[in-house]
Amino acid sequence: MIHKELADMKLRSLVILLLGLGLFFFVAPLHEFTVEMLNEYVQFENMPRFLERFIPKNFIERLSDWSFYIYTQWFGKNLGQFVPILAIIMAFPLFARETENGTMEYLLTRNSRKRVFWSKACAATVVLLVQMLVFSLLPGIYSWLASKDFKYEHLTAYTIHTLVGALFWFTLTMLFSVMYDDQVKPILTAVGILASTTVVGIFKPLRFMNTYSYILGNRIISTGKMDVTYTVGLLFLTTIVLIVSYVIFLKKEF
Amino acid sequence: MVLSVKNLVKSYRNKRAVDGVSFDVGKGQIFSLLGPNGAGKTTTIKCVLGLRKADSGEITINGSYSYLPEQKEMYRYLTVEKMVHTNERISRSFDAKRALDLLEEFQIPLKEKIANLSHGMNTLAYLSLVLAEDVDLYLMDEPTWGLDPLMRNKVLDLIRTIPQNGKSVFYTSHILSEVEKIADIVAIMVKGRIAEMDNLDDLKEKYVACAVPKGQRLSGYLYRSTKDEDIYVVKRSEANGKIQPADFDMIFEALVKGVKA
Repeated sequence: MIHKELADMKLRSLVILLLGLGLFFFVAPLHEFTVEMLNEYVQFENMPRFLERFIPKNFIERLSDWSFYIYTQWFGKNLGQFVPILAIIMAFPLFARETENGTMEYLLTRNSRKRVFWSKACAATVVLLVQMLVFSLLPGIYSWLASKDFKYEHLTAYTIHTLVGALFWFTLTMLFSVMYDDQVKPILTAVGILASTTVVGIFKPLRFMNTYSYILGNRIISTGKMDVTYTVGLLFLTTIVLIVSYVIFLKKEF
Repeated sequence: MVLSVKNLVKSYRNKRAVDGVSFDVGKGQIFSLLGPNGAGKTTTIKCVLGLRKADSGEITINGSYSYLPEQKEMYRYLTVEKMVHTNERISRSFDAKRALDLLEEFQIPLKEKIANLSHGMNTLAYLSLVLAEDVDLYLMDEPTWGLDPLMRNKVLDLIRTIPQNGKSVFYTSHILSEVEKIADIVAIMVKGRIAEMDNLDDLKEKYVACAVPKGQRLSGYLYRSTKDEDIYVVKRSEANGKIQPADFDMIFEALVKGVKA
């Protein structure tokens, strides 16, 4: 059962892995080039004010530090913004594709619902976590290979934020994949929730709704520490959503 | 008893799809659930398998089973051969060699993708997977639908041999001729209820066709009306008028029409 699930995910996982690796090697080797380019901008006498506001001089100075650059540009930007999207891509077809194609009957008459659910959920979770772990550890591995001065002490915090954020969006999308009978609705619902929580999170009292702020590691950059409360909160929600998905799957008619 | 269903009820919103259905499938028996489209056959079989949740009733399966669904959907991106190997990993009682032999017998190309198979070939490929399972009960929903006459006969012959090993078959169909060929027990399902259930020979023995002058009523099922007479299919004990033997087609049609006098 798990072998079939892994085979189903093979292409999707490889594409995501290659895209992630490609993205990293687009960001990491361009450190010096990026800093130089930004320095040139700020030296312009008539630099637009909005640009000054968005790229403060002290930020560019800090960017010349490799650790700051890779943490903010990889976790805090390139990887971070894709984490929920990648998790949604991994989760949306998990159950909905089988239901839509009519192959769920094939599975359920050969295995118990319990086995079908956990095989699918576990196989996809492991694949997702391995992907995110690889992406998270890339800065460390690259720094070691390229003899860069890298502050490894923040890597664990960023990795946990990435993994937990990915797991949350994966589980939430999986719930919709269990609920709906076609593949379009789970992806639309998940993307809709992602967009709306991000927008709603602009307002100060609802800032907690914006998972991006957590996944991008804003707290780690400002305090140097992991956001434990948010991590525990997301893990709690993930567990609840997982249990709800399982109960719905046990009761669903095919 | 391999399968026992008692007072099964299943509704979809306000529509009662299965309404108090009860039957038993014995060991080594071929049980056919016959009925027109929408009679509730597929819902019954899905409730038996747990794919649909029954509103009430009791379902007992004693032993292992294998299922051929109405929509024979497999993984379209796999080749037939890979589908067999995938099935081998998923199913516990599956004999891959037996499946490959059946596929060869049905002349299904192993290297062909499932997506490229014709409807009939797809049915035969799915059937090969199902028949290669070593189980106590084979549940088949319209197993011969879309097959050419030669393949249909071949499949019916295969199904006919299943009880020789003490295994049972529960299958649904709306094709009378094939039911007559292989079924031991026939249940005719109409509008969610079993209108009649018996051994095929006893069923044919039980009913006769009676032609009575137009307007005269008989306690049975109105089968046909001509200019001068009404033809009823009635139980032998209720027979009246010009009595003729009723063939299975007549009995089925009269029961399905359900125009009870």
